[in-house]
Amino acid sequence: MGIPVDDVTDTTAYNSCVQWDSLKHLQMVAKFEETFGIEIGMDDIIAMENYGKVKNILIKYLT
Amino acid sequence: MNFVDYLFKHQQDPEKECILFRDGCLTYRDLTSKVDDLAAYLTIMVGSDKECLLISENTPFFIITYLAIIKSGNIALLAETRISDEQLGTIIRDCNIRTMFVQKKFRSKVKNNVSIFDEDLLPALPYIDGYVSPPADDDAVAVVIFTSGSTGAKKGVMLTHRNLSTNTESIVQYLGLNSKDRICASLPFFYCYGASLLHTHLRVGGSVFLSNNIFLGGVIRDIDTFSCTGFAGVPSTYQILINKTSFLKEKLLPLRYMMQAGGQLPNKYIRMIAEAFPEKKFYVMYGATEATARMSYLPPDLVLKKLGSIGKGIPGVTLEVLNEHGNPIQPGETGEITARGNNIMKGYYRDPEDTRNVIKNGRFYTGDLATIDDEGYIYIIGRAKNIIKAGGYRISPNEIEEFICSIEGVTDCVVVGIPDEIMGEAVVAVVQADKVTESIGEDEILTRCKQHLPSYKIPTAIHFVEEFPLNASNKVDRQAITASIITKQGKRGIR
Repeated sequence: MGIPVDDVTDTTAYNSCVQWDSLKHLQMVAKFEETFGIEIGMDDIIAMENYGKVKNILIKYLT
Repeated sequence: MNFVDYLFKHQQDPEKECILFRDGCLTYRDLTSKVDDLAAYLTIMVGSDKECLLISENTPFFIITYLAIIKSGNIALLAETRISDEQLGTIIRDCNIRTMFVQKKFRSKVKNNVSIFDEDLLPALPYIDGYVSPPADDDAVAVVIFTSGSTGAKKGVMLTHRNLSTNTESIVQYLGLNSKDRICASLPFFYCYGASLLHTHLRVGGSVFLSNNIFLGGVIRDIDTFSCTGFAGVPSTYQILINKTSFLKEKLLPLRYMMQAGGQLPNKYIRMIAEAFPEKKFYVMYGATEATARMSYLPPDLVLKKLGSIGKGIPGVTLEVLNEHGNPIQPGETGEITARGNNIMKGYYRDPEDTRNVIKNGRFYTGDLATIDDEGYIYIIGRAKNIIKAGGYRISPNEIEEFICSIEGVTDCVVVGIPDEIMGEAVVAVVQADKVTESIGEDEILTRCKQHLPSYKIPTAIHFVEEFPLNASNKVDRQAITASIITKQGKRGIR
């Protein structure tokens, strides 16, 4: 998304982040699925609305 | 008549829900009152006939501001939220923008020395009782929409009060909309297709649900939760829903109809939707910003019989396919789609030369090539600008794309022309493979092409992508794809 790593916190959110739009979100999910060999359910894709939630949901799939 | 007055002319129930969103709703009384308050403020602060720029996602802020700008006799310039800083700077400078309405989220985009208002303005406005819009010339410009620029630089399309009212009336008529209709709006209002959803539903006293989801799949839940009767999408909308969600297995009980425009959806997806939802109406439509929004539609009962057709002109639009001599084509021949009607734009903003290139004698030349069948139904062959010129042949990408898409294991395909020293241009196919099967390979696609396509239409190379780059209106960005292939080939030498 082009956001500097140091600027990303658990509260970095879709709603307030200009770069994080629905297309980028879809690409991000596709990348997670490919990288980790998982398939993320629709409810979880929708729930990934900030970085903290993204991490928690990924942990759920990877443990 | 002022377009906003036209929209609310038949409004009968001020307490009816009008704009719904996840956290609440606006009734018709709420909306018209806020629009009047802001319109009155604008009349005092800005005057009339001034360009006011609006940058916002689909929010109550967008809707109130958009309608207030028009109602006050000013001109709403709509910029996409993904606009680059450079393009935004150009618009602000070239359009002499003095007043801007910018959703807080996008405030950082604007650094210019102009009056900027955001959501905080609305609650602070004084209450105005009975604001009356200034007398409107029907042919005065009400809105400028910047086209997404899939084939070139951005152009501002000037739409008049008459353009907007005429097209709204036609769409209401052929969709059979009424006050019970509620559209699930996921398309941006800053483009003509999304704006038409807003216009038509306000005109009939219906309602609009703002389906702002982080993931498009959320519309499936929204349609049920908010009892939406209509849904609108561009090709990528349906392709994402079909390939990434359980869309085709859903019941979507409240839904009466779905519609698709904004480019050609491959036939296999049209068939999937029509067969999965036989009890719902599925409208395939065709339009352009220069025609306010809509030019044609295919009646839902013909979607499978006339698969791939964009139908015929909508009420009030004369849609004709003309040959190079300006005469209507015969079935089987190819020509350019042209349109006449009160929905055709006034022109491109401050660009009389480009306006003259596309509007001649009141007729809009779309640049889309098409053929017709024996009953006059129109089938698009390709966009004149996308035609590939290879080895003396003029090749439309559509037929090749449609064929490759029909191969099992292929989700989507885009065919482009890449500069080639010998052929002029080489046909190159870019394929998105089905993630589930992932068994399709270059050899298999080429073998199938060799079996079914004439030799000059067989791609010289197949590239695979995970996702296609999309422009802001969610159309596949052919220029970006072409540039990416040229870059790749440059790195390893053009074959």
